[in-house]
Amino acid sequence: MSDSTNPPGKDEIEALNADDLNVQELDDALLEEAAGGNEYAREANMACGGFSCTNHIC
Amino acid sequence: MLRTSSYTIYVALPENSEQMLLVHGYSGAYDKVSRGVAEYLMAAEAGPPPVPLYGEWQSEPALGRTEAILPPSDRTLDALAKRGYLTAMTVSEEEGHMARLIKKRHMRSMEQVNYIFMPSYQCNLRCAYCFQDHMRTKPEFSHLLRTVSREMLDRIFATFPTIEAKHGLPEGHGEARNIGLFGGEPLLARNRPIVEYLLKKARDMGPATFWAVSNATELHAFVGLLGPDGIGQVQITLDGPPDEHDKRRIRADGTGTFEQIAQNIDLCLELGVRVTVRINFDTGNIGDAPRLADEIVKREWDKSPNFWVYTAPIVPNENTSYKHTFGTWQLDQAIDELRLIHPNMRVIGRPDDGMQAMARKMFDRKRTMPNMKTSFCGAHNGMYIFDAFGDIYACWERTGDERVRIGRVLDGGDVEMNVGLEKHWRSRTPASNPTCRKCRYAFQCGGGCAVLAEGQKGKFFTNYCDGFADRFRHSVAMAYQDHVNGTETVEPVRVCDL
Repeated sequence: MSDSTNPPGKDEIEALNADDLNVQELDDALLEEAAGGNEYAREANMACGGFSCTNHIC
Repeated sequence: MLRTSSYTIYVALPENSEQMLLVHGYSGAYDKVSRGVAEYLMAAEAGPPPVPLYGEWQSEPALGRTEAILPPSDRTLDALAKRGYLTAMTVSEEEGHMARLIKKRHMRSMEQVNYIFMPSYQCNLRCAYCFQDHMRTKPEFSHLLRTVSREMLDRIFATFPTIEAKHGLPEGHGEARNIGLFGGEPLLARNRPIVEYLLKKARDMGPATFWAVSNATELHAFVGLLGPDGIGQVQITLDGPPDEHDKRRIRADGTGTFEQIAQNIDLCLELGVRVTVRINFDTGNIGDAPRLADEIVKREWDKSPNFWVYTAPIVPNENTSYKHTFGTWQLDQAIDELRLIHPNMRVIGRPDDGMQAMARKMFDRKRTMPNMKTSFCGAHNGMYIFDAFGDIYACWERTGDERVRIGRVLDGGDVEMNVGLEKHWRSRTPASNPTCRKCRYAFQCGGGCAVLAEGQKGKFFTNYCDGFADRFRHSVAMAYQDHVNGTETVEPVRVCDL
């Protein structure tokens, strides 16, 4: 990405929630979560994707 | 090379062409950005960006011409990437990522179990639009009208440890069970003994909260069971001011019910029960809404913190043509218009007031992250509906037919699940059809109602949008406007999203 030449005030972003949000960290934590005692979760974590194989995206 | 995430939602602000809100569909981020930043993101979309709901943002800048747009500062680009709006994934990679996130979050949602009991399919009313009307009017369905026995209730409660273990809840977990009563009409006076037994059985097993969907015509028979320590919340339908309601919500002998219901609403509020009134609207009765609002104000129900009114559109059915029905977005707008000329309409909630209240909570910093829905309702995760025969259903719009039950209760309290049908219901998420998994609003919408999708398109695994994109963006924009203006809001209370 090139350095911006925008004058001050032209590009602004203000977080309205979750100031420290980092989508990569959030997603990694969720995807690495263990299934625990949830029988439905264990099945869905199988390689085939679980319940909706015909609609699954790998 | 970074591109704009396919799940970026642009919320234009009315009468503000210099700023826009952004919402990210799977990170849960909400941001305010300058016009320059929004234009940059739109230009960096892989496909045509969505047309904003207000203002003159559409069709500019030209697709893909990021070299024509001054990029934001590195600091802003970094923030956009961290919050999800810029991604290095290709479109298909991101779609796969979205599907995995949906499935993971859906599995989390399966850890919650909710129970609904239908003591009987019998009802003392004959509302023309009732989806169960055939059960009370056609002789071939009369076998369905019996009331659940104590023996059957014992068996049903005996299944709870097995059901809860499947959802990852250990025996003796101690969490309060959420138990609803539905029907037919669950709170018929003749059902009091069995309802009392049901409450006792639930409490013998551990803490429990109770709610009911009731026509409220015989609630006076349940004094002693109603209240914060008993049936603490009741949803009641009113279909207009007294004269109009009495044409629709009628007893089997054709007589009206408004006054009896009104007395029972008073009773519930005195007993500390939270009362949610649901009003079903189509184009034929929306004009009566102001008179009902006047009636509510006259009876001073709106002064109680335990009273709330919400609205829902009647969907096309064999008794109501689509020509006379609203979509949810149209109903929101119809109520907005009526509020401009009838001040009392403030007491009648719009269908999307809840969505607006949720966004407002984040802007007021009363919550950090939004709800992330992986399904439209509990039919697709942990809802179990037991009827009087011990048949188990996932959806309260699909009951009374053993061919669609997801399981049944056996003698001795064992439970036998129909694995195929159970999976059919529990696997419907936005990831389970190609339209929803590409949608920016997937985690906000949940894929829409399965029953309505099937009714509209003949397919279960498909989308039912009901104008959600417009509704969401309008709700967020209005919530932000109210936040900036310091306008007071009230959080709605409701039992059901249908």
